[in-house]
Parts: sequence; structure tokens; C-alpha cells
Amino acid sequence: MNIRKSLRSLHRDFGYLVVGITFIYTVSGIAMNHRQDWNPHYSLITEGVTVPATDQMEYSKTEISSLLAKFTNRLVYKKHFITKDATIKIFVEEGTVIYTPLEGTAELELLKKRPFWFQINRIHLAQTDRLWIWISDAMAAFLLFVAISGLFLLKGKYGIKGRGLWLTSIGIVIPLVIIFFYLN
Amino acid sequence: MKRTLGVLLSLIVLFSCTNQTKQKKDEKSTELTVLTVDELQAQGKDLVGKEVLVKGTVTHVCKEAGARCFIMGSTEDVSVRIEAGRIGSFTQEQMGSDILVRGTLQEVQLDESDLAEMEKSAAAGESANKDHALGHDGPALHSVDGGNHDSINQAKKLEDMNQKLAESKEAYVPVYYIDGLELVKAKVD
Repeated sequence: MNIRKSLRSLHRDFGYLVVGITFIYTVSGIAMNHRQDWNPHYSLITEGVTVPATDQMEYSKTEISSLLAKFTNRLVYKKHFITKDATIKIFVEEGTVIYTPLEGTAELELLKKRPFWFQINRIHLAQTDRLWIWISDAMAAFLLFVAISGLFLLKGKYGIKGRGLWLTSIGIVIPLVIIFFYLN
Repeated sequence: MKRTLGVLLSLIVLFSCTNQTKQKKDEKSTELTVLTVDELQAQGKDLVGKEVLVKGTVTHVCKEAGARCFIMGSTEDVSVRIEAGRIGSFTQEQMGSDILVRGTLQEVQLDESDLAEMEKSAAAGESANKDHALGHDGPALHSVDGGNHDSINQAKKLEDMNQKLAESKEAYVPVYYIDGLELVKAKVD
């Protein structure tokens, strides 16, 4: 079996192997590229309730729990404290409530994990245990092999000595232009 | 196919062997005294560059990737930033929980020119938060992340910092933060 044939079969098999991880990195990458327009990890849920205004600032856990029960979202109390702005900041599971006794308002913000997106973004950012880092390193090596071996699969005018050279060069020049002209 | 499987098998064996050489778990955390955020801020000058073990309530987690969080002490004004570092990342679920973190205390020294630059940026409506000295950058992401409830007042903090600078003998205001090494306990009872 000659080198080109071996290269071709390894390129094919490793190519199949990295489809899953390529999907995760590309889809999650696009999602995170636009994080100024949306939060790719969490979705925001807001809700406000009104209660009679009061100048009372000290509250027990029971009193705070009674206030939390007024929201339609089911809230699990964690902790609360008084802020300098004369508000009560209440931490609940997955969010916070700001209660302003003087105004009689309480506003809730919940950050709910976006199913699928949260998980693939964590994988993309390697916010996992060491095992995944080893796996993704290996997959990255395979992906690099697939990219480099792909350069030498075709002979002739469509290969690396013809059109392939130009297209590959363009693909290399684009990030270099960004680096030299925008990131220096 | 056999060739591919052969290569894969070799790599799996290689990675397994490498993985077995991982370092023993760091047990330094048991040797350190647990500090509150208030104690850390009070003793900051003597602890710069040293490992510390600090506990506090998480009041903010960086919403982009959990790269840092802020923990508070007795009041919201007494807080310290923790860079995730070797911890990896923090999560929104930790908001409001008491955590215990081991890390290295670092110091940023803000002098007159730094504060002047921050005031200039603030006046221009730009980010005036050099090295997160004024707390987190949450307001910049309010439109997509919420955070309108943050009681943090950066203008007031900048004013306080100028006051501290005026009283400082060293001609700078120290801002402490921690380079995270280990999340000892995700929740402290």
C-alpha cells in the first residue's frame, strides 16, 4: 500500500471520527461569537410583583419566603442582605430578587440554563474534567491530520499544486491579515 | 480500517499512560487559615503573592464564561474578585452560595494617572473599570443578561477610590484579587 493510499484511508476514517466534535465546536463557536446579542449559556426570565410599601428593612427568612411565594415562578430561597441603596438583595436558586420596601416592589431575574447550548458551550470552553481535555486534544490532533492530509489527496490541477494551493493560501492569509492589521 | 483502529488504539494507550502521571492532589488548603473577605482586605498588604484560603458569598459571576466571580464579606462594599485560573470556571448556580477558595493574592496598584484615566472614560460613557477595580462589568451586558438589579455603583466607588488616594501615603490605591487555585468547597455551611 503506497503512502497516498494510506493517507487517503486515514483521512477518511479520522474524518468520520471528528464529525461530532467538529459539529460541537462550530455550532457553539457561532453561538458564542454573537454573545453581545444573546447569552448563549442562559436565558433570562424576569418578573415583578408589588406589595404594600413599608420602611421596614430587617426581614427574617420566613418573611422573605412569604414574599417569594408571590411570584409565579417557584423560587427557592438561598440568602438575603441589605444593600447600600436601601434594597434587599435576595439570592434564590438560579437568580436574584431585588426588593425595594420603600417602593413596595420586588423584581426577579432568573438565569435558566439553555438546554443543549449550555452543555456544548461548556464542552467548547473545556469547562469540564481532565478526561474531556484529553479527548478534545486527541480530536484536535485528528482534525489537524484530516486538514493536512486533505492537502495531498488529489493530484493534478485541482490538487495542492494547482487550485488547492490558491485556496489554501487564501485561507491562511485571511487570519494573518486580521492579526497584522487589527490585532497589533 | 485495521490500520485506523491500530493508530487509535496506540493513541488511547499513550493518553492513558500520560494521564496516570498526573500530580498528587494538592493538600495545601488544609494548612492555611480560613480568612473572611474582611480579614483578607485588612491584611492584604502582607499577603500579596502568598497563598490564601478565603470564604465569602458569591455576589456576581462573570456571565460570559464564568472566568471570574466576586465574593462579599460583611457588606457588599467589602468584596474581592477571584479569577478562576486553575479552578476552570464559576457558574451562575454559585450566586448567593458561600464558597471556600484557595488562591494567590495579587495586587493592582492604581495611581493618580490610572484614576484620572478611569474618570475620563467614565465621563465619556466608556468602560472605566481598570482591572475590575470598581467591581464587575455587568452593566455592559444588561440587555442580554439581566443584571439591572446590581446595586453596584461604580461612580460612587470611583469617588471613594479618589478619597483613598488622597489619604494614601504610598500614592496609590491597592486593589486586591485572587488567582484561583482550588475551589475547596463549592458550598460552605
